[in-house]
Amino acid sequence: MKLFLWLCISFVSAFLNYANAQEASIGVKPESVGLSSKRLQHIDNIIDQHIHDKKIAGAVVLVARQGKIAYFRVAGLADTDKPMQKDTIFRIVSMTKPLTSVAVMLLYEQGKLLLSDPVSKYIPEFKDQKVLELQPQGSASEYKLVPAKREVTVRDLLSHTSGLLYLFPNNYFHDRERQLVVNFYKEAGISDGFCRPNETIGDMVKRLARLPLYKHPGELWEYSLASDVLGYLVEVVSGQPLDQFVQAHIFTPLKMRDSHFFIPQEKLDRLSAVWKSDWQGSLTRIGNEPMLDGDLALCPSDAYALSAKYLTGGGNVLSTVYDYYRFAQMLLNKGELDGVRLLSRKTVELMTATNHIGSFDATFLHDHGWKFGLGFAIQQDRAHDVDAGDAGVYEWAGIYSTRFSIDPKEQKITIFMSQTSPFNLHFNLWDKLLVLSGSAIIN
Amino acid sequence: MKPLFRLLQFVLLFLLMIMLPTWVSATGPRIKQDIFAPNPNQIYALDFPPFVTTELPTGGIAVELVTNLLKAQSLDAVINTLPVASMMKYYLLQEQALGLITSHLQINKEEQKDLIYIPLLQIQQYFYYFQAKHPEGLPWNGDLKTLAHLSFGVNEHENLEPYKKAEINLQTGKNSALYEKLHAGQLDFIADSPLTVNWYLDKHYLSEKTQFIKMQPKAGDELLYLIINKKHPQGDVIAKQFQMELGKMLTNDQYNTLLTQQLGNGQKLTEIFSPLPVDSK
Repeated sequence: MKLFLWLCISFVSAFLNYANAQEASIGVKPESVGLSSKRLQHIDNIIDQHIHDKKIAGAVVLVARQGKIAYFRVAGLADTDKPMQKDTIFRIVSMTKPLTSVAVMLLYEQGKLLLSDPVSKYIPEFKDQKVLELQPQGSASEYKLVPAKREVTVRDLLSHTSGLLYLFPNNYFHDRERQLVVNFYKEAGISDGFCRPNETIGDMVKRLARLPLYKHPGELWEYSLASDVLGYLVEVVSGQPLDQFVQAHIFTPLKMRDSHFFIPQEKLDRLSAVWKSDWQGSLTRIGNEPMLDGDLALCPSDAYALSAKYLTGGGNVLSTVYDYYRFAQMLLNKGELDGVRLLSRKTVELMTATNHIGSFDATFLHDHGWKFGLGFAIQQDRAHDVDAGDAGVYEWAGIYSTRFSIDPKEQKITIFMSQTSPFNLHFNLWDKLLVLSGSAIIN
Repeated sequence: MKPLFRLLQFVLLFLLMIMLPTWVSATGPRIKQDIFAPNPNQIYALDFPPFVTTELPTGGIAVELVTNLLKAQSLDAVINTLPVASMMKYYLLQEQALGLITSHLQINKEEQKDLIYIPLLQIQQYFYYFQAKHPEGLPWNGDLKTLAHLSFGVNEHENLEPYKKAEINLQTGKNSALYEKLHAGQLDFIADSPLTVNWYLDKHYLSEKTQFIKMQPKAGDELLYLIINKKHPQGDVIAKQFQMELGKMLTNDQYNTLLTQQLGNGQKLTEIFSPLPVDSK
């Protein structure tokens, strides 16, 4: 009798799991969630046109509304001999950052840290930091290293107000202070981590912490290595390597089964190639060689490594569109997905609905009128050129042309993934995709 | 009398309640570090594990030695470990730091006039090759010419002339990059202290450690200095105190005892360090 009961429970449970999985993966008719099928076809057209014009090799696009996938389109090639598929695995690079932010907020919710904590409480090398300030022309030294007005806090790292830098924006922004700080980074062997160094993230962070800051903490918004520092902070506070922590506390509970810091051997053939595009019709597959452009160094072939030492919270993760949708839906649901609560409503509100950068604007991927929460850019108004469809929309992207956007007001998620470089030519396509997913709303 | 005393007690209590704000007993302000003035005696040390490193609680062998010198002379100074030489140079020349702990720093002769070099450690250097690239070994016998036309990875601040003279192909770079190149077969040999080599190999190439082969005889010695800045208000005085204390430590063998304590693993002092130059005493 007991065995029979046990079998019944197992059967019902398995059926429910299967039903849940099917519902999420197959999706629903767009009209049932207030989206127009006909209007969503505009996305087909624009993606197909970009593939036809050899601007991109292939892409996967997902639009979800009210917790249901209404559009899930696959087009083009993942590799020269492989079509793009729904389960194609992408280098999501900086879309790792929101995952790392959530990892930090999990520790915050466990009472293991406060956002106002100085980072030096956990990583002592952050104590007594200096800030580089230019001196007037004719001074004995071109710069002066002055004590930081206050310490870098966990909140500064989450909101990119720490005063740390990335090296690669040095290609685009040409102020002398930035150049001098980047020179220190290079001398100390600090890299952006897009080509994996042969050391631990802790080794890198401890060196970085002893170099001058670009600006005083809290006195700028600057996209930076802050998420890499946060990844190490997770390791220090949790006592676990970052990949193990994220696996146990995010990937597993959210059933993100194809998200990894290092790809398992059996999934290697699902990893997309990276393509170099001039967005004018010249499209070539990148081989094993690094892609070097000034201070930007990319190593797409690092993603084939089955293991390595360097775990970066700023850009390590490989994932699928569907897996990332599950993560995004958890955020849109204010911390819960399929009955699993990862974060509290209050914490997600703190991360996504609050401006943490004061009068600064998060213009790196966006424009004026965009602010930054704790891991995402947030649209504050619709009066500027980059419009994601609503005030309150939050989003971020990855350097191989992957992107997500969450619209809390319309309960809409849009995800686009390709593997195309350089990244800075893709903005036009992304802006159009958001117009198309937004204009498909019919209720 | 008693009622008058009670009245006085009451009045006093009332006055205290008015005069003292209530928060005095309830709480206190948050203390931030910027209320403390920085120590005027700043010493900067360049990363050089395990001689200078934040990875060890003592700060590394050289830092431990300087800490002991400071203690013995009751000197108050802060030792900061930095990852780049250019910051050290900035602090020394622009901020008039008290001193530096480093082996080599590109400072011109004019600037050197204001500096007092106190040798701290004479560290033995050995050449290493990677066995997978050279299964038969290299023909090193103490004469650099035996290594002619091979690729040698060297720190750019070192004196390169003897290697150039011996027609050795030079590749300069940071230590970590040199180890990677040696491992990748892009270099034939590098030079370093056995302690530093062990440190890197334990961290980065533990499973292949036995493939990195130390060549005999030793390649030379590297001096690690405490460089005192005469422009620091106390520079001259403190330099004399350091020299005197170091001399004492060398004479009474405290120097060797301290270094031996730092080594561990049964390593012998004579395998790692050479005696300091005679004029150090």
